Amino acid sequence: MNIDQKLEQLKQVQQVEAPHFLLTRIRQRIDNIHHAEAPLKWRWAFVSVGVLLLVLNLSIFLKVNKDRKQQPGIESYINAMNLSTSNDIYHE
Amino acid sequence: MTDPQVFETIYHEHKNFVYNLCLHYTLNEEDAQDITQEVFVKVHQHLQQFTPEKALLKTWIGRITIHQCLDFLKARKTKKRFGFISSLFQKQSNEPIATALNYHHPGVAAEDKEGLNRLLQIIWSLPANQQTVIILSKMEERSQKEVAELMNLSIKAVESLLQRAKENIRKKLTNTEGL
Repeated sequence: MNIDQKLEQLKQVQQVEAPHFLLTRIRQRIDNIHHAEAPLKWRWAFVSVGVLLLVLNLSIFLKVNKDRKQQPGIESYINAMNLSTSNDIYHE
Repeated sequence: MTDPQVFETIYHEHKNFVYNLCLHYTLNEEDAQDITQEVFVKVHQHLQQFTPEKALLKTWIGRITIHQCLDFLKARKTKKRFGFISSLFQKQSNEPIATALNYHHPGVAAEDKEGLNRLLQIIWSLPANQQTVIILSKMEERSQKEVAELMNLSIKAVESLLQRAKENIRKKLTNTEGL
């Protein structure tokens, strides 16, 4: 079988004109993409609010940790009040 | 931001090339129109990235079109593969799955359709790069140099792909005719 001869049949496929309405549809799609995008001002506003919230959370977290370290531990309370740490209640 | 007038000039210069290439891949007007739209939206979005030193505008647009068409065909094959599973859960599916059998290529005359049907079906079943090489060299009648540029391959690679594609088509045609 001569495959080249067979493939010559593909030349019967003619070139077609693109439909006229395609450009209108393309323009519409491009416009939709532009409308869907948030303006630059809004994008910066969202980023700065996000950074502000992150800094606020971080500072609260650091402050709480620092206060916790400064608080006297339970051992110092027991010593100051002369409390027994033994579980032996009958003093045998 | 692409200048609308520049974009329109590019569109008018390349619309038929893109549309026909899409038709050869999809064999269906509606799908070809959808892909053509996607291609030109991409061209509009990425025109700033185009470097004339690397390739011609037509080659660049051609590559976008080929990628878009192959992505579309891959998605359709996946959809078809999972179609059986989804059909178990959905009683009726309104979306038809196009095959080479029910194609509607406006460039094929009704009297030629019968003869071309089997050949197009075989081209459809080829691996993506062999399918591309046949479409570009036989349906679009591009030179091997142009095909190599469009596929981003060497001329030698295109020649070998074409040989493999022809061999595969020959085998498949013999198989079907032998039945």
